[in-house]
Amino acid sequence: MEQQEQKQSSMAMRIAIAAVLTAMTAVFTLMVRVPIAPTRGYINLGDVAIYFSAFTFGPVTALIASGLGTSIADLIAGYPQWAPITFCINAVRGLVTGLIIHGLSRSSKLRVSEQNWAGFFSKKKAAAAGTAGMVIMVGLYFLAGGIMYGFPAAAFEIPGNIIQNVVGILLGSLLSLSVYRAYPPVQQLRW
Amino acid sequence: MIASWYHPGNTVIHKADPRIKILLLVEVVILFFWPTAVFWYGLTAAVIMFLIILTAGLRSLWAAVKAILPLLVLVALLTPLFNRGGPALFTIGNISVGVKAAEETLMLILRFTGLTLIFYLFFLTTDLQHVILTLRWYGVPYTGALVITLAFRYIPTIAGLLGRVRDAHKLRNPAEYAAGSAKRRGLTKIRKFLPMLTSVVIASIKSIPVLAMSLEHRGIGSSVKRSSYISLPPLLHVPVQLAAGTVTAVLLSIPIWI
Repeated sequence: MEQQEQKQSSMAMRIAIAAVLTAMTAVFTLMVRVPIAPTRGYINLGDVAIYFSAFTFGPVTALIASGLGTSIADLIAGYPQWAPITFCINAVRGLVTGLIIHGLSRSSKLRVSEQNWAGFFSKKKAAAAGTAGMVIMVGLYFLAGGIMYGFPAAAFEIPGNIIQNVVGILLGSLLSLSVYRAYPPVQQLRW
Repeated sequence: MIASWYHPGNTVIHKADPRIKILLLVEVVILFFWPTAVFWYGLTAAVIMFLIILTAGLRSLWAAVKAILPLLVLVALLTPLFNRGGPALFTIGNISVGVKAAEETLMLILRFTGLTLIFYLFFLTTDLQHVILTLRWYGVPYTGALVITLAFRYIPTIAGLLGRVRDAHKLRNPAEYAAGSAKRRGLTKIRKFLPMLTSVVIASIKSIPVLAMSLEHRGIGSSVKRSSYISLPPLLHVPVQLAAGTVTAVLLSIPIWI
């Protein structure tokens, strides 16, 4: 009975975490929109939310929140043709970034806790996970854009996407750290 | 927020079953990637444009095309430069545009326009509730659909929270948000967002246990289901739409078989 209640509580908590982070990713994506005509759309802070989710909440939450959040933002912002592609690319990016940063932590026998947070979240690990995420995002968007409207035009997106990713990694890691410092119970929400 | 893309109406496309609409959408997407004559791309794009005008008017069509117009211009300018060869169609300065390049450019423009417009038409004529019910019908798990629904519910809440936090930060540190500070570049400009984002994230995270508790009260995760999504009627209950959808699907597949 107790086990069943625990399972129910855990499922409700996971749904709540995924839903709130998905909404947050969508809001961050829509919040700051710097148009980068004549490409896909705009530079936004959605990447900050993606990297924050991956660094703080782990690969599964990052997969759901990144994929759904950014594709919902595409729907709202008027880029519905990109929504399925965005879902796939950002879900993979969230998953891989989360797996790398948390995999690296496991390999060095570190866990998320107050004592080892600084070690868990070293600049090197964040950079490695972020770079992998950036390569996935930039590469897959280039491929998708190239197939849809030609590789010369798709190449125009690369610099904008790289800038967006670098900002996302920097601000996402800083945000992760400052949220943890200001609100330590956040570590209990990771799964 | 997403309601702005749905254009309420009483047309045949509005009334059409969303499950059939999604299948046709997928077929059109396949068609636009199928290596066939440019003519079919043009014809399909023209039909979609016509349907958008019929369902939501010329302004809606212009709004959709305007959003992708800069990209289409870029494609028109760049593609001929990277597709040389074949007999020259016309020459501008030192650059001669061949027949092959012109065809490739036209194909890419029609493909991207067609893809954009078919998705636009779908969301123009299908409300969010039916999109989610259709996803459920196609096998998206209950929890997945619930996450999407809850996320849509929380977007206005977090957007409102962001506005309030931004206003509070402006009041506490007006110099940072003054007109002159906009000239700041690079990291300084980016770091300006950090305190604001931290506040928004923490406030959002704090709402998670409350949401989880309300989900538990509704029996989410329990073996005894206390809530569920309504089901769409069986497809056989919409025979006219099913027949019309099949005919459209067959017509759409003509370019694939030719």
